[in-house]
Amino acid sequence: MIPAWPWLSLLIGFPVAGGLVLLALGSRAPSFARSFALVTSIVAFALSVIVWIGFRDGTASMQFVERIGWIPLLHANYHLGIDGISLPFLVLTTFSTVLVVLAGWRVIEYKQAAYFAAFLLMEGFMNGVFAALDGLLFYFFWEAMLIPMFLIIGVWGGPRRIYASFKFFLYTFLGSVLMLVALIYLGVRTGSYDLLAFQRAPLGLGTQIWLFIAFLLAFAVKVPMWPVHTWLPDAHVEAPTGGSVILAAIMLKMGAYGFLRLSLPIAPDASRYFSGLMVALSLVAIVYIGFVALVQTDMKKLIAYSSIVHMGFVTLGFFALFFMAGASAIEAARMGIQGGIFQMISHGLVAAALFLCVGVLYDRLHSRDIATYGGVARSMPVFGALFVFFAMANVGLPGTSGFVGEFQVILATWVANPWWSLLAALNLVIGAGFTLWLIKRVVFGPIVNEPVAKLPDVTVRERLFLFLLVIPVLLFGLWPAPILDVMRASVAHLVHQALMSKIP
Amino acid sequence: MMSMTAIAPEAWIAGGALFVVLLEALRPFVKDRVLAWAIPASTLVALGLAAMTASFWRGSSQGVFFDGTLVVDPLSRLLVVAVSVVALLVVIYSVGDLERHDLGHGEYYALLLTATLGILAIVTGADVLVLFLGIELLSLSLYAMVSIDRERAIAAEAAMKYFFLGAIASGILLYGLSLLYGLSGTLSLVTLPRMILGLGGGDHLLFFFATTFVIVALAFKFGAAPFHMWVPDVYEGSPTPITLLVATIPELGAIALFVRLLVVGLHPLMSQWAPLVLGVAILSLLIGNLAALAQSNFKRLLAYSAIAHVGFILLGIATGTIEGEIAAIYYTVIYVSMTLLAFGLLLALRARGRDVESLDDLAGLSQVHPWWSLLMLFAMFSLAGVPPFIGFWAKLAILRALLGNGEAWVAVLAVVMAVVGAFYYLRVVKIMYFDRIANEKSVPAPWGVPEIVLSVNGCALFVLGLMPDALWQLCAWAVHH
Repeated sequence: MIPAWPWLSLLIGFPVAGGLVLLALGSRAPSFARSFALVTSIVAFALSVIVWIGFRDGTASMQFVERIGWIPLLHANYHLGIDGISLPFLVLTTFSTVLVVLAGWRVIEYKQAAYFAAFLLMEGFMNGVFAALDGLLFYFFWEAMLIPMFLIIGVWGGPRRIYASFKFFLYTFLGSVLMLVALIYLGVRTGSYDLLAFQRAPLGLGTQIWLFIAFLLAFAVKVPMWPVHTWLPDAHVEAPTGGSVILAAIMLKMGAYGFLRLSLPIAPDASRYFSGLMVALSLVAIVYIGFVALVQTDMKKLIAYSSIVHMGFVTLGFFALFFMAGASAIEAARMGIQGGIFQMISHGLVAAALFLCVGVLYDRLHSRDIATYGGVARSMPVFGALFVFFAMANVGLPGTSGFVGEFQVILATWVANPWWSLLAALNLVIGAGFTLWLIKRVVFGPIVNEPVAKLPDVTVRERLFLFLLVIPVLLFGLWPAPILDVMRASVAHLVHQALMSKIP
Repeated sequence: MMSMTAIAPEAWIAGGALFVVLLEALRPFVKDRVLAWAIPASTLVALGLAAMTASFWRGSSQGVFFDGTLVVDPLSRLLVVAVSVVALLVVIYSVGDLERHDLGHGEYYALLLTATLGILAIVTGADVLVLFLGIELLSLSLYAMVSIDRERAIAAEAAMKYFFLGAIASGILLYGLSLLYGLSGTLSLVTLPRMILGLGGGDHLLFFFATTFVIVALAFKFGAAPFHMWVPDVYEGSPTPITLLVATIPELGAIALFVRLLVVGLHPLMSQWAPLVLGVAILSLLIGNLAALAQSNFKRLLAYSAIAHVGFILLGIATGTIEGEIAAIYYTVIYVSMTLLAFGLLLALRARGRDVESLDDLAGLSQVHPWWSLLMLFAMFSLAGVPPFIGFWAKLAILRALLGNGEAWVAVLAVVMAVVGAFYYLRVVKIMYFDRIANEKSVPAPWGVPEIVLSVNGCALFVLGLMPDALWQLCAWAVHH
């Protein structure tokens, strides 16, 4: 047993405090600043591991709960707690931040301390989103997160960074403010902002529909779902490597997490009402965006579109549950959600790895254009092997983490409707198509461009962060049980909530 | 004796104004250096004493004084403290700049004190005539201050515009008030609601005219659309210290006017004025936010942003509920603290050789002045209403009041306009942080009291954003009693 400290507050406060120290430091001691950032992110990761160790499986109730009065006037509390659904994301967040600090070690030259400060602040806010059990607190962290990301894209991004940062901010801001209206409405109606109370409150179908739409606008933009995905390729392409990693690994997961924490349990009847639409949008993302990815010439853009495809699987897994019938309906519903969550974790690792790989190439030749490369494996054999490995994980090769989630979602969807399952499975072909074609053009083949022949292979630092990602991708591919066990009880509870009508 | 303690804050301010004029009259006989120190100091002392006497109020002398012309209640005490403190900060931020541009004579300080006195009269007035006197004292002081820099042609133009439009608005207000008096036979805000109810709740068409005239005039004084024409010109035309003043203290007076005159005095006529105020509010939100998008002058941008914020504040008033009233006051206090920071920063930058007129003058600010640009970033995100800054809670309070009153569509419109507003605040951040410039030499300026106060002001936006409750409770307490 671990001592009863406020671990979640530490997970939020420690990185934020570290970020503020770095901000105050300014450009005074650059080498100290980055060591400090690294130590802070490692300590935060250690904290999340402690939380994982102390977490009890087999219960859906909230753990590590902290609750003190925050705004008595509104009955809003500083209320934190995690269940099996939020825990994996906390660990993923802290893990990704360590990678981001390592990735920015030598590459970022302009205002390095501020760069790391932004990521540490964001880490704290993201942990806050995953741990918040109070509606206002959730929104507080959800929005606060936008400021550092806006600055990361805008200050350290590529040539079209200004366009991309504005598009990112305004798109997500517009989605979020409508969620705020929905949360305040629920707060006025139930008399508090407790998310668990929101989940229990009986609501008529009409109200639920409005709430669901408001939530959908916020979460669909964040996921992102087709057709509100257009900010993502721009943001990904223009963001510095670290920004792309955090965007892909964590920020996209927030939208899906919102569906699990707010939409499904608070508005289950409206979720059922809209489930056909949600499934349709997910399938469009899987099939259509897959084709879009096929024609990309920019490596980052290709991976961005691939992210949208993978998130399509996530939302498909979540909303297919309303179409389950027969004896194994509940079992399949749980599998769909579990597969969706597993897919989120796996995609967080794999997409982060792919963006880091592109970053490694970009740091050498300052081009993200696929045509620049070709035959990289000849000059960078170790890197080539790693890139191919992560590409295989992206395709969903059995033995990698990419396989588990996708397979579960496809299996579960089969129970709902075999045709949807077939469409989703099409991605196994399209996804393999765009990923392997990318690999073929970048890693293999003859060297076309002179500079590629002289590329130095990955350095010790780059090996470090790439191998750090190989471990979980392989581990959870071969042995997914740790993650599945953690979330089993919470997912069962969620399915129960989602299938129970709240209409009074 | 009781009544004398009731007007102690006003007495300090009035005494201060007279004392400053007296000091200025001694200019031929006293060294300039002494006056340059003594005049601001006595102004600060007067404002500080006013704030202190009002904040030591403990509810013992609550009531109406001087034949029902002045009211001492939690709301008036809260606003008296707020007005005095804001005026204090205005002086602290401006004193260096005024000195450098040779505007720091007694006139500025005397007019600042009379303007403050006018607002205190509005805040504590329990009688329609006292309110009107306060408005006129405030307005006349402001007209003169806008044109205080006689060499500045654009300032003279702004002052003319402000004066003519302001005089018309005063006339309209007076006409509306005279109609009210003619109908109800009373000037007291305490008895006015009862008299209106006695007349059958104001079904009379003349009541409708009276409220309309009053709202038009109040909207003008608050700078709400469609009576906002003077705002951008005055903001742009005035020297920055004057803009700082015009943009902050009068807003506190305006919210007091709306609360005292409409919400309390004309409470029985709510069904008449609430839709009008709502219309003015929505129009201000639309015009303010959309026009701000097209601005290239920073002060004009903040002027249109002010119009948009006034729209938000009036949404709270338009609900007609206690919660809306609390939200409107809370929003105004927060808005004023953010505006203080933004203009205070402009003054601090001016002292360091960066005279910010157009937005492009902010280019690359983060490279040269990292701390000031960080504080400006705080101000901008707070104005945009993004957590973790206090501006978020101001917007939340209004939205809560709207949703509590069942006005969900208005709330949706308001948040959509907040997103539009976010664009131009982000643009300021973009110019400061994303646009890089070649090396620039900054004029070194030492840190003094204004810099420290400014930094506290900026950090307060963040710290209060984490703990928004205390200020909110204070506003709730002021309204509930």
